[in-house]
Amino acid sequence: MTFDPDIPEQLASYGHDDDGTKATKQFLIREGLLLKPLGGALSQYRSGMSGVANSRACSWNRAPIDRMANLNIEPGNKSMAQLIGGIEHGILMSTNRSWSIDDARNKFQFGCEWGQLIENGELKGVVKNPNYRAISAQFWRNLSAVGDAGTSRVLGTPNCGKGEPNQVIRVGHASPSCVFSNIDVFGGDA
Amino acid sequence: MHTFKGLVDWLKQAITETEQFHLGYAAESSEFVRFNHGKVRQAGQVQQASVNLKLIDGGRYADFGITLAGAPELDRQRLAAGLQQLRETLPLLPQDPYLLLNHNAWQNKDQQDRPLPDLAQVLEAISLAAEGVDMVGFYAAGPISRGFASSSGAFGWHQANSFNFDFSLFHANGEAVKASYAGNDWDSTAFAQRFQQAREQLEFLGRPLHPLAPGQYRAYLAPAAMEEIISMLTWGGFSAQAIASKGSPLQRLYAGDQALSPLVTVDEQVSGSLSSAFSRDGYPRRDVKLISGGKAEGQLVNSRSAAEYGLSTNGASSEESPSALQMAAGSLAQADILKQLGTGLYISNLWYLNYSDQPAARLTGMTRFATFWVEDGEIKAPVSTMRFDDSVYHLLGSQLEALTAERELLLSASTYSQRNTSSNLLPGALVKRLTLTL
Repeated sequence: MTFDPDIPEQLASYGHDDDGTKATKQFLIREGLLLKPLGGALSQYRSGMSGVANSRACSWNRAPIDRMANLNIEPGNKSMAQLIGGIEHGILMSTNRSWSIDDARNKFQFGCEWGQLIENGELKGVVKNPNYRAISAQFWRNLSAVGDAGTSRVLGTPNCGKGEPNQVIRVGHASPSCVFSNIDVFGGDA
Repeated sequence: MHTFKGLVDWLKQAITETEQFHLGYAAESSEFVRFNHGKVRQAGQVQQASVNLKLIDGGRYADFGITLAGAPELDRQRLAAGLQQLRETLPLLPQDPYLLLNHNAWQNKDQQDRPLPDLAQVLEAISLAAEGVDMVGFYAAGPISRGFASSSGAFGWHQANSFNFDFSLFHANGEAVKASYAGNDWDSTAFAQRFQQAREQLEFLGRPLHPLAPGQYRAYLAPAAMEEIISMLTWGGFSAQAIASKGSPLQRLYAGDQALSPLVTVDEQVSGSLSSAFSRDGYPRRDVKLISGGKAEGQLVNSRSAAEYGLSTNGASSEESPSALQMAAGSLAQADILKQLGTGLYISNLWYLNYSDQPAARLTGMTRFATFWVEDGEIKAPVSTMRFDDSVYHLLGSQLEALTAERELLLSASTYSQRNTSSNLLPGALVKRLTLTL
């Protein structure tokens, strides 16, 4: 997982943050190990830890604070066909529309507008309103395959809110398709 | 008001015979103070003012936002440049079929001048209250102004002073109590009492955590927890546009296919609230009964929805969201809450709600801040953070047992772009069954 300010079409690409620190691509997690947190120059000074250039303000009337910027998952080596082909029974989740997570970023739940059933390595019919929930550490330990660059999409949101006083900014997330095993999936009432 | 009036007067003489304008105004002077470990971590002051100019001609309209500098001549020049840009834009646009203009020359002035406490006095009171406790908080205060004027002669002005101190007290084990003290009249005794209540809850958080398994539990939702649920419903729930296009989370209520408990009555009570009494598109706002005895009644209708769906506008905002919502009180006395809960969960706050099934009004979210396990009417222990997933038609419908007789006025602490003036007046709710899932 990387902090990557260099992808031109991504929402939070920049040459320096709002403290003036030069922004460069950094690995935050590599081969499952946390290498460094998000934190700008002031947080690095206060904590004595290394960080990245992510001190950002939404406008002239708010002070820069530590924010996400482009937080990306690096591509692996499996094609989409290989990812789907390796699943005996599962759901392809698509078009996220609901998100909720606790303050420790631990227990989460996400909902999608639609998905597709996967059976014996093949995509089948559409499923409506698929949701999934898990505990973060367990979820990421259940990551079983990472798609290659051909499966990767540059995504993000223009309105991520945080801070006091509140600030809304753009954040980017580029990610390949990923496969997770043993996830609690459920639908709606309709 | 003088600045705003000056710009309005200039615009009136600047437009042509066929042109009309709306001019909206928003300004605030805000003290912002953040606290960490009971001490000031960051303090600052923001003064900001802006106008939004909407130019209308031949059934077309375009608008333009300008941040004001506070220098009259410079602001007039920028408004003139904006007007010229809109004139050049309008011929490029199609006519707007849903443009419904208010040609009445209504007048509305609401100036609440009650003075706010001196910041040094507030900091001293907070410092005294927070002695010996790990407090994180945010204080926002100052005057807020909103204005509206049209070429038809309508003029609205709203100014109010307010403060909002939003804080959490942390136990050494990482558990926390969240509370707030907000309003327009700082009462040192009331603040000290509010802080003391939070301190008392903090003591319970030192007990060993009561582990909970997913399942169904009897629960009391305090007004702050109820606000999280109601806030989700205000996100399109009462919007005429969302109801007409079947996007409202309360569409089954408005279709008559579902009902809430007869205990549930909800009003948008603009009169007497901290919000302005006029909308940004030039209509006076009216009080609206939204839910009566568990059944849908009124909707929030702005001028565009009125034009598109053949309704009468009640001056709703562009998002058609309530800004002064009130839920009717019930009969459960504050002193009887724990006794009537018996055995179950006392939930002070909920956090990070979202829909798991919007058409079914099914919500998910987290318990956070001072959620306790209660046995035989006594608080026994805090519980670990749990996720719930349940429908509003259960929580405020079939499973609602009682609402409290006392209600809490919760002023919005939101400061996105500008300080929010919305509020919720809510009771607590005792529910027979709340579903925890993770």
